[in-house]
Amino acid sequence: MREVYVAGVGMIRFGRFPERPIEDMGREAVLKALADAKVAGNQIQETFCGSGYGGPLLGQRILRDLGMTGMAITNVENACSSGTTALREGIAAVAMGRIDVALVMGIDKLTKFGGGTVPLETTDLEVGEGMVMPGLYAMRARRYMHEFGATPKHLGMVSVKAHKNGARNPYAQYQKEVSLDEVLNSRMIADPLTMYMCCPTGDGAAAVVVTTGEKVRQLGVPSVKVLASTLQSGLYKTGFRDMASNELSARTCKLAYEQAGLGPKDVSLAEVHDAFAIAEVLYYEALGFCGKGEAKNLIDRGETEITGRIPVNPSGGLKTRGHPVGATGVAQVCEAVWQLRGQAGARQVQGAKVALTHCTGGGIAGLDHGACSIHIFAK
Amino acid sequence: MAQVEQVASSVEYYPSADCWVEEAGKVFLIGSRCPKCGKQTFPRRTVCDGCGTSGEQESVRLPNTGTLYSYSEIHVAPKVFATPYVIGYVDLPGDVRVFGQVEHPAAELKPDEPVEVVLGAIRKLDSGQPVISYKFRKTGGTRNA
Repeated sequence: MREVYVAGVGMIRFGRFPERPIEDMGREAVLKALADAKVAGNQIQETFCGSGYGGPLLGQRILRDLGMTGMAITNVENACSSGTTALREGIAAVAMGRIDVALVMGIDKLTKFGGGTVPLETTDLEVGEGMVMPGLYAMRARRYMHEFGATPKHLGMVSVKAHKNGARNPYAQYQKEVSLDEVLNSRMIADPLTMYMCCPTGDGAAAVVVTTGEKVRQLGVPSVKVLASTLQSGLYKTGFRDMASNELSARTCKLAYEQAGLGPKDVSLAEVHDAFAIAEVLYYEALGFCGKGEAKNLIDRGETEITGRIPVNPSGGLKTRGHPVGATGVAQVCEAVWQLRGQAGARQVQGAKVALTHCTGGGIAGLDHGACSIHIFAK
Repeated sequence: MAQVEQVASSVEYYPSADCWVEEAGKVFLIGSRCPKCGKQTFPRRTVCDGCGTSGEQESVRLPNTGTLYSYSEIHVAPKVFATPYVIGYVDLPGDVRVFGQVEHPAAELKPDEPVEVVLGAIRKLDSGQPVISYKFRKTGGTRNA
């Protein structure tokens, strides 16, 4: 297998753009990524487009007006992991030698649903009984707090950090700091999760160009190497499931660390799937940044702040960058690449050498989540 | 009008009325049991998730009490659900976990509390007709488990 590199990244500022066509958002992200990689559209040999709700042929709909047609275009759906599932396919196509240059997109437009929680499949038994995504995470929070003595204050502090970082990220949907009191006293969504502990819905697009080491040198762009590219699905269980930990993320991360030949201590920063504040807490443990039940200590000591021991979500994460489902994973990769190149501006993690992106989700009865995809990059 | 009344008087069960039986004022969920490895599940399934045996899963009447593993009071949901309502995961003896609504506000609940299976309305159809399903209610620790 050949080594694979990220040659360029690009994304639009996430937000709510009900009037803007999804194809137009996609094209802006693609043009930015191509410019960043210093490649022309006709040098792209295959495209992989991830989207949760973008509908049929989204890749073709975006690329048509850029004159980038004829090549293999693969459209991918895997809920919140759609974008990074597409990325994994692009990386694999280059690694196996089928092509030298791949374009990967992650795009979604959730304003088309109006407001409220993301719609789930009504054929799912639990959805028919009243399951909503905030409720699933709220039950994890309830159990986690019960077992390990964490409090809503810990969850709130995760949101305060997200807003602090998002305020420094020009791509974030929300660029405003909030106080712990504001978080704890905001509207209850699913007890104990308040509105400021839940990520927003919105619209966004992100794109990356992946290629070979030789091509990166030819292009003369900064080199960011892919050390690990993983995807796993949740295990179906009809009986007991430990909701105070996340088996799927822990298993996927173990695989990623094995691929990369490193461990949690080597990670300079992580972009994790903080769809809800409790999710980030659980993922500190699943990714090995602390032991089981110890996440609250990490939060109390500020170790996941940008200046801390293991900065998590310097971008502001899903909470403030926003969470246009299929776009999220690719936006995480944009952030990882900017951090490794030292281009992250006011949110730069000093001396970043290794970045991990973690994307998981999809509500489905009996599984932790539908999918989890973890990538590790190094400069 | 007559037609409307007829629709309103019919009862809608979710997922279906053969998922439980009522006996002596108690509600028992009907699950499946694998004849090979004994693994029990709810709802019934045709392939055992314990050993992979396909077909011929036995029907089994599950215990009508269990413990509330976790729960949440939901304040934002699709409009067919009347908010706030409480959801929870309940573990029945024999390693069977069931998701359903709980008939108490979250403030009256704590993890690992004993609960029993009951029937009640979980949401409404677009017509306004209630949908009946299994739900959970605290036993108060007084009934036998």
